Amino acid sequence: MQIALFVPCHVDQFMPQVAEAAYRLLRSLGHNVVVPEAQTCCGQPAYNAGYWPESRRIARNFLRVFGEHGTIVAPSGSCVSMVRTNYPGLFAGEPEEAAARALGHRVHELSSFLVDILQVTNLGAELPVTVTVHDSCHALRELGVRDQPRALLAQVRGLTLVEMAHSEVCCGFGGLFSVKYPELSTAMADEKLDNALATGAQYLVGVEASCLLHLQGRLRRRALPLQTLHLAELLAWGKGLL
Amino acid sequence: MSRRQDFARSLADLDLRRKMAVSMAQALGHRAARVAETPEWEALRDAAQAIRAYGLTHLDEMLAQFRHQLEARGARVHWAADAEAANRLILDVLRARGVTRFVKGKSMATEETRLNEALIAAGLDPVETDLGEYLVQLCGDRPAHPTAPAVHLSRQDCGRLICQHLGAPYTDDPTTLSLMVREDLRSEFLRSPAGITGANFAVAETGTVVIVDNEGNQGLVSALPDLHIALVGIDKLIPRLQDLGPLLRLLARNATGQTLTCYTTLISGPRQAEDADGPRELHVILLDNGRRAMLADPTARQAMTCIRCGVCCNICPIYSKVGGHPYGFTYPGAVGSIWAAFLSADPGAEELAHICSLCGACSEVCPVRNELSHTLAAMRRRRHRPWAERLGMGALAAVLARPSLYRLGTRLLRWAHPFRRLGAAVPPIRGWTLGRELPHPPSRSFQESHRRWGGHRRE
Repeated sequence: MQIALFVPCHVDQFMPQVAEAAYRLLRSLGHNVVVPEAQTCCGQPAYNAGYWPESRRIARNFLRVFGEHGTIVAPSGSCVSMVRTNYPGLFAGEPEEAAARALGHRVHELSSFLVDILQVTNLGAELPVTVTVHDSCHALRELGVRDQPRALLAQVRGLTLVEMAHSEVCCGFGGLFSVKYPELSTAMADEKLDNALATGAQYLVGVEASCLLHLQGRLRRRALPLQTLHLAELLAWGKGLL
Repeated sequence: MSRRQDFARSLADLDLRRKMAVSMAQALGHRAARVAETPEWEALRDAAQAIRAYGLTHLDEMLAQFRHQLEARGARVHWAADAEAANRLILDVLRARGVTRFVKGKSMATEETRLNEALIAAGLDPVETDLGEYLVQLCGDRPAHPTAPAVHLSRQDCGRLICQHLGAPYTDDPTTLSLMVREDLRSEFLRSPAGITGANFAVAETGTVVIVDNEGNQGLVSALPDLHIALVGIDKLIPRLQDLGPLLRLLARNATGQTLTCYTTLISGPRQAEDADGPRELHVILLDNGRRAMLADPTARQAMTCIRCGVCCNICPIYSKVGGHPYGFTYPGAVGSIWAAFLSADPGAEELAHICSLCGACSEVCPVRNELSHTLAAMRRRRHRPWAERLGMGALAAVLARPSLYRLGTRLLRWAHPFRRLGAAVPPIRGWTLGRELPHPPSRSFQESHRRWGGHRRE
């Protein structure tokens, strides 16, 4: 299958290893993975901040770049949800409305693509680590991504998953919210991190790089004995691909 | 003081955080137990959503029917365009009958219009009879939650407030305290010439004001005095009596985790010839105060279907830490942050739509399936934003809309990173670094590495 890799801007800039991991994982399953060159961002930062015309300018580039691709996969729930859930409203009444709606059905979050579409859970990975999972809000509530990451982790040999309390509660990132209301944002991060620490896990695993960037920033500030890890990184690492 | 500071101050109040954590976990726990034992839960939500959605398109029809039915049984129905008009109407009715001290049932509508302040300023003396409101009145505060006004107070706080007020030795035993308040309020009920309540629902078909409570005080406030005034938001209208079934079941289960509240009072007029009791005079005041403006707004109108169960507060990772006070508006939480844009006299209240991480937990549990977080995101378009933010967002969009500029930006970010301390004064960076370390951009972005090595690298 030909798969176009959608690399969210924050992954491209700050966590390139997550995109690399997704790229190699999909290739290892025998797929032809292309990385459309002109991709930038889905427009979510502007959308969530209430700047819809600005968001549309960015989203138009996304439509141009990915319009011709059949299957699009991203190592992110939030950006996929932006395209699938928010593009129809963002482009309502615009010439691109139909194209935007059609595109939404072709964009997939990585873990749900692996489990629900490719129907693969055992990637042959092995990693003797203890992890806990954070459910990212948009992946969980808008894309129904909850069991898929756990199904993939369950097949990693040597891995122990210890569920944390309130894994489904927001970590406090929320885009511009995180810098406009930093006190609230970090208080939410602290609750998440304290719950993760209580499991004794070495890694806090998620499917959403933006949550992980925020949590990592807080972890480093508090010098906590815990690391964040994107599910794609974990799987690629366990398969010896990174 | 800014709202951000109000929230930050509440966050720093660790005693409040502890009390909120206990109360919210308890409320959500009780709710979860009711959801688990109600197999028709989703069907109930569908029914409630449909009933409330009907109201959005048939409001005038329902208002006319409600009024007609009530007037036919001798009630007076008034319209109040805003808070001031509602308070004026109530004051006029009370004054004309020489009322000074009177009892009140819990009513968020009267909180919204700040009725107590207006009446006290006019020399009247309202006595709150809901235990939570009684406590809130004792500390000169505002309710911190739509269904649990004193949620921010601990058992010990309640003990101190009540014992001090009644001049009794300190106790924090809930039964003793409630019996003390009962004793204190009983004489108020018996001598009060008037009672003021709100309404949970208003049934158009039968002209019925519906009030629920757990202490029995609403029945006493509305039936014992000779005069009963009910202040009813026009959003409370529902078409038929039978619609109360799903709505009351959902309201109690979501709000307190009960299967039904202890008391449900239905009032369809003043005392009739064949009635043994009830007020001789009933006034129902229908309050707009921004509701029609909300109904006319295609983005926000769905929020008019709210049944005020408060579950969007309880589930909110922000509300559940700080309670209702930092919101600075009668209705806190997700739905309140939508209502604030239309009902609050403070134009700054539109900021509330931004004080949300858009996690969507509220939308997931809302009994009438309001898309609260999507509405909040869409409402953010309304606010007049600071010029620096608009400029920044415009620049960001210009870069992200053009792949060539995005590539240039990728390089610039890496060149600028060593000098990041200089950026510490820039608001978004300052906001991030207040509690977090900045991420390090690796020397090459994924796209840069991919362009350089593409599929030729070793795997």
